[in-house]
Amino acid sequence: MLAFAGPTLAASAAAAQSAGARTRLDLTPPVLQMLHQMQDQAVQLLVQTDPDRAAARVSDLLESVHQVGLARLPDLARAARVRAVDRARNEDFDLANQALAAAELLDPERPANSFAAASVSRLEGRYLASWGWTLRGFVRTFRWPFGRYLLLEGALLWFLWVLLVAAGLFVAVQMATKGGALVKDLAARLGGRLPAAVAFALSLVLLLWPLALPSGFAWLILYWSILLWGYGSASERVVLICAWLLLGAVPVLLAQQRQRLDVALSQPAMALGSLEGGELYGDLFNDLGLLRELLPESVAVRQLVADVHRRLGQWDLARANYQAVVKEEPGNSAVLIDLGAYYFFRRDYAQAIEQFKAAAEVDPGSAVAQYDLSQAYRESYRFEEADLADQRARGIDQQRVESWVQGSERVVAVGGGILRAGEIRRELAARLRATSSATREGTLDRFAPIALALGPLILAVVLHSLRRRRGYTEAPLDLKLGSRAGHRWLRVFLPGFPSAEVGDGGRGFFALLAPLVLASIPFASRLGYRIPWGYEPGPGAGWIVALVGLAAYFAARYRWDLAHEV
Amino acid sequence: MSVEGNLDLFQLPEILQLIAQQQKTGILTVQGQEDIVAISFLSGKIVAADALNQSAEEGLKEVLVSTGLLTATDFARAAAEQLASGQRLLDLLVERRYLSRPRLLEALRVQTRQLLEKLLDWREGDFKFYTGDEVSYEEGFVPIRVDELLLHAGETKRKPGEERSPAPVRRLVVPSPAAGAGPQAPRSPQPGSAAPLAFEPPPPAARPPEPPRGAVVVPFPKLESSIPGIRQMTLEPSAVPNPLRHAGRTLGALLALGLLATLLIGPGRIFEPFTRMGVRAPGDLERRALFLKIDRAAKTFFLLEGRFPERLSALRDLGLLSRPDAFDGEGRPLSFTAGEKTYELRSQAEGGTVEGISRNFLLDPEFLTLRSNDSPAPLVLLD
Repeated sequence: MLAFAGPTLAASAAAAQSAGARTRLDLTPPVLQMLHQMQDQAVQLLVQTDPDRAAARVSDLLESVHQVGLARLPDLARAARVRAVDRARNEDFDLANQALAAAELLDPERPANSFAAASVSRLEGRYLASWGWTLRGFVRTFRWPFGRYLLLEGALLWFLWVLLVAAGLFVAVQMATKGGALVKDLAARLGGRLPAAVAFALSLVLLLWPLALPSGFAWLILYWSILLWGYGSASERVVLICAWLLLGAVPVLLAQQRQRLDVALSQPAMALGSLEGGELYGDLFNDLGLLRELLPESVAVRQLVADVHRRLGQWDLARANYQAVVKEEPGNSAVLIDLGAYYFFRRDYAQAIEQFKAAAEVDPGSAVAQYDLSQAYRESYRFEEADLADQRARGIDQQRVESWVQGSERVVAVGGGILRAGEIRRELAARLRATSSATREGTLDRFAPIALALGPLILAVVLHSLRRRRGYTEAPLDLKLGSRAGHRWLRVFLPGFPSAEVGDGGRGFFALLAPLVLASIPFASRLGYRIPWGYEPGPGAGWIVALVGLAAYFAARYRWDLAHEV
Repeated sequence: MSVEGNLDLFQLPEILQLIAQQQKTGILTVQGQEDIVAISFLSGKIVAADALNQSAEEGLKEVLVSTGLLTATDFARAAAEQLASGQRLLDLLVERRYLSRPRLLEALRVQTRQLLEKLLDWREGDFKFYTGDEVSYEEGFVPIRVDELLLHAGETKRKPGEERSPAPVRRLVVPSPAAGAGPQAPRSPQPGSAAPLAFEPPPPAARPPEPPRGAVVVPFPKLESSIPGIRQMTLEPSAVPNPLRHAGRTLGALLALGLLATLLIGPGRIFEPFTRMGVRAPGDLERRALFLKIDRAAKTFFLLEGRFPERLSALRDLGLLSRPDAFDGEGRPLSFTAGEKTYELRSQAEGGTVEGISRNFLLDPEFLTLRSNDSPAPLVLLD
């Protein structure tokens, strides 16, 4: 996917593609033929209305994908889910459920399957089952690595947002309770020389001038927090300090998240994740080619590409890459074993034995090396040595050797490339950092967090030390001790306000934070990173949680107010 | 002279309303079975109340601690300091900065109101009202209006969810000598007048109140000693005038509304100011995640229909996208233009993408054609 301007990995990838680079992974005619066959099977599946034939097509597709060492077809599963809901809308629930079953076979345990099942159940009128599926979908999200990853990164962003807005609301409540006193003091300072009305107007101008700045709203909150510092209690000042520290921490946290996500959302990382999860998606070969283009010197990438070629049955391409890896890493036992497997299948048993022996020497605890060595000896009619190697393999891991024997595996390949996914991600991140540092402008971003955290504190303390001699006007306790009928409801529905009147900073902040968290739940998808579910869960669950939570919260506030009425 | 009677004849709300209506100044004492309470009125408004059996400190402590203005420990420490110094507790609390004077006065007002609300429950007892020209009360105390007291008492007694009912009082009807009406004729209050209660002859101003036979009356000196240092002062308005309070509240409310509006308009805008400081906001990453989601949805559409959708809403109808997916994190709408084999997705903020079916082996037949750089022939495995 092409993306945005800026020093991102995706931009580098885009540049590589636009420069006409050879991005697609090399594919041999038999592999292309197999993919073509899968394309046909996919079309047949999508147009199929006969359930038996559709089931047969699903089996064919899964067999094909297993041949290349993978297990999932997420693109086709998405299409099957859409078909399922479409058929349910036409009240053909049998076909709908069969399509859902196909989606579950093509991409098992994905949350989107559950969300689609929830839609079908709802269309069937089975509302309880629908809610059950929705709930199951959210549980499944935590077992889906990419979804879970985006969800947690989005949760961090959402959490920062909630804290920032709660801090802003805290300042707003401080202004609502103590703003009158602040305006009075400002007007009094100006009133000596000016008429009262002019002094009042000028006070408002002095309070609102940050709105004229770019991003003025944010500056206004920061400015007010500094002005109101002197009027706050000790606990309110602690909350303000925490808010300023948060302001300083946000850019650092965002920068760290950017580094992680810039990699995670890049096509090469997507391909890596798919290989780890056994997914064959439409762009996989292109994205793998892109990975090779981006990290041409990476030994780990070369080993991964070699493994993919081996899985596809492109042994010659695999061997070239394995040999390049061995040249760089002579002690890489996984590659030695895989290279030995290549010679084994070429019936070059002498070469195979040499590679397997080298692997066993490098990694004496490798049951695979010993097992493969025994197989190569056996094919060379060196039965005594074969038996010895077999005994050594069984001595290391009897159970696995038995499983290979029972599975009639002539030689076992290791596929160590995918095990180096973490290393490849680190290399991608390093590539990104190199690109970013090359294009970084100025040094302000390095000092911005410190300035954001300490600047307001220093300004507030200086202002307070200048102002304290003149004293501060006391803010009234209108709401906390209000006795009129409406006061109770205001205490209940204006969280943080009564606490601000008596100067209870901690309670005031959390009184604002709790309803904000609940109210933001339905908007959580817009606050974090959008998860490509493959079928949307719908907004209902979020709204229900938010509304029930808010009702419970305000009911609790009402009861608390009754219990503590003065 | 004084007005006296018992609560069987007139209930307390009626008596209080009468005093308020006639804007009397003086002290009302109410003697019940367990306590005696004295209420000071200034021009018909309550400015102090004191009970014989509950010290002012106890009541004040209850209010200060329950409102969070002072902890029980701090109050105990202040009380100990007061015992040691012999200073008035109210002065000591302010002087030693346990709390500010406006806060203390507001707490004292609540304490007075609570005491009076308890008193309103009394159904038996005797009352006596001593009129006078002046009464003593705490400096700066904001007087409590009788109707405010009765309304709040009604609200407090009403259970949650219960319909609001009028304050449980009957209006006392007193004769108007001037009109010569009968005892049931209503009488309008005369603002500023010093008219006496209608059923008593006007008391001589200089004459001190006399206790009735058989009644226990708390004399003024006793009241003053029970709230130490009470002195006569003029009423003061609150520290912050109402227009300025409203100004502060309006500013706070506007800021809060602005913050909450970002939730609806575009939550991601909260992070925009960071971009101005050289810190890159997560907006572009959000867009990348969103574009990835739309790309997968659009390609699924192509898989099903053999073409890209004309609008993003078509993907939403299929359940592949949700309604907010047509907008980026800052709330700006995305533009989507479909071609034959490609589509263009663009954000108003920055950047965009042109995507197509090429490079996708499931969608693009040409992907599966042999290229010059592809390997000519695979290894044939005999096994």
